[in-house]
Amino acid sequence: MHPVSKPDYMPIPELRAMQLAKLQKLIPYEYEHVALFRKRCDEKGVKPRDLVTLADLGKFPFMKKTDLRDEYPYGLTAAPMREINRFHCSSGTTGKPICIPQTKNDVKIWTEGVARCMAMYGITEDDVVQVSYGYGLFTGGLGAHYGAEELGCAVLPTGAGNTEKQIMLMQDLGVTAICCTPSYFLHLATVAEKMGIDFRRDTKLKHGVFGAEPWTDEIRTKIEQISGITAHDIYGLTEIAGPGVAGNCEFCHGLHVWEDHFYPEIIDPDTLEVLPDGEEGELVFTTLDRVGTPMVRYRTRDLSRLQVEQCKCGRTMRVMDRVHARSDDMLIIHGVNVFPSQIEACLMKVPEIAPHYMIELSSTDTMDLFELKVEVVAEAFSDKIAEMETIRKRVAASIKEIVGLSPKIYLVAPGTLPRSQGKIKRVIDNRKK
Amino acid sequence: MSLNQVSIFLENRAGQLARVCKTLAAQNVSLIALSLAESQEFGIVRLIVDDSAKAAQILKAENFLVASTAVTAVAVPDRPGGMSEVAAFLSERGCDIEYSYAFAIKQQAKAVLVFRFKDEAKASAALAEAGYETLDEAALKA
Repeated sequence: MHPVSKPDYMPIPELRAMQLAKLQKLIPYEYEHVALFRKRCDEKGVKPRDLVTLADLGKFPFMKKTDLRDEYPYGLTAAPMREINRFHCSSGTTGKPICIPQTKNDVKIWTEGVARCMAMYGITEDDVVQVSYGYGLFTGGLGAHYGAEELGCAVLPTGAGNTEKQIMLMQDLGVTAICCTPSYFLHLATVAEKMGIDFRRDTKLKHGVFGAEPWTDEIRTKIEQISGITAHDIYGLTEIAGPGVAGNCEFCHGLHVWEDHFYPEIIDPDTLEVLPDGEEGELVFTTLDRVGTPMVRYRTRDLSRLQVEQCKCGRTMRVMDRVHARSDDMLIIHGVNVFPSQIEACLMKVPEIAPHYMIELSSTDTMDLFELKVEVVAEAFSDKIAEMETIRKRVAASIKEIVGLSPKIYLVAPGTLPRSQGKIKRVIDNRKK
Repeated sequence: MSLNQVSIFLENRAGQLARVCKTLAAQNVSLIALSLAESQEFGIVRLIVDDSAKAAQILKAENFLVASTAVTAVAVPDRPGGMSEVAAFLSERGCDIEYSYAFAIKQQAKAVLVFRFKDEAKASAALAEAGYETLDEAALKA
């Protein structure tokens, strides 16, 4: 076992005591240094000394993404500038980004989280790790990079893009593990196929470390089938650290949360009450060690569940369900709740369709127009209109069955829908608000 | 004898056919016949060209969805009744037609009827046996 994995197995009483001790340090620190937190605590009539047990955390106010935007850039920074060592900003899709100033130690803790995930996946210092996440303000690239370096791997920092060159380097340098978004890996696989490269035959690739966007079990199976690698799930968010907040082991149907650093809660997103382990709701994190920009009860918008059962692997860190949906991602179309991941699952059932799609929504005065563009795989193309119509009808039937809606479906040529090199955008919502 | 037809998927948006033609023109592929089939949401353009292998390859390289299909090209005299006779013959022999289009070779006073049969082998054999002239790529280039 790599020494970095030692805390994974911390006895539970020790873990809970450590979490409480860290919270009892964090809450007064946050109260002293972050005006917004102090104001909200005062409004609620809760004082830092009210935190006596772990359950008392539920008395404290939440933080939301809008707070990060409103307080941009330094409103939530608790450490003085001389201690700040790094900035990361989240790929905000609208308006101002969010900015997370961090200290040297904050980056170290994040690094540890990624390294523990990779060690759990079976990656060792013998591995050659290609980091195809974007580098820069986005935490994906540097996070994976630090984690792999910490483990002593040979790191190939390709960043995103220039896919053909990435495949060439992967082959030539004997890359054994790749870190990227699942959608980018699918893109990589398409390009490799075009180049006549078979991952099993022509590369040494064994591991994929996939994260930064919600993905389904169907996509995981597909990735493993086409490439022969093991697809590992890494979870994280810039607001809390970056990738490496949680990851899956070989046994669990979910991800171990490194809760000695990132304290998880599940809440009911409507009542905001804390839910017991085993119930599904919105995932909330508190950073137990971060000094630069601590987060107390940050609402992730990710829907998940903390599993009650202990994992067979022996790690004591609780397992969260893999995030298949973000409450923000939910679309309401014709009054029906739709998650893009459901559409993805429908498409995976139609072999003639590639797992790339684009949902386009617009509206007339009276109704929503729901259009769905899907890519036909090259082998499925026929010169007969009737056969192509059959594919379209199959997609329609699959969506009708699972989602209960009948979008207008457009077939498009493979490779024509936009591919992301960071996070993929699958929904264009032009409806009048 | 059969002929290779190149079919290309067209998304339902402006400029798609133009893109196909431009791609082929840039590589000096000459169009001999073109037929466009459309549904409400997409189209399929079917082409007879002077070099079908090259056409398929360059279109694929440009990310078009491309299929190569064997079709039968029957040459008949370019006069009224030329098509009618072949159609009657095929019907008599029970050769089901998926789709068909035609073009003329003026220099030779010939009309060429292109057929996509449900059973290509059966129809080809029947036409050959009855003495119909069918064309391949080399014959079209001549």
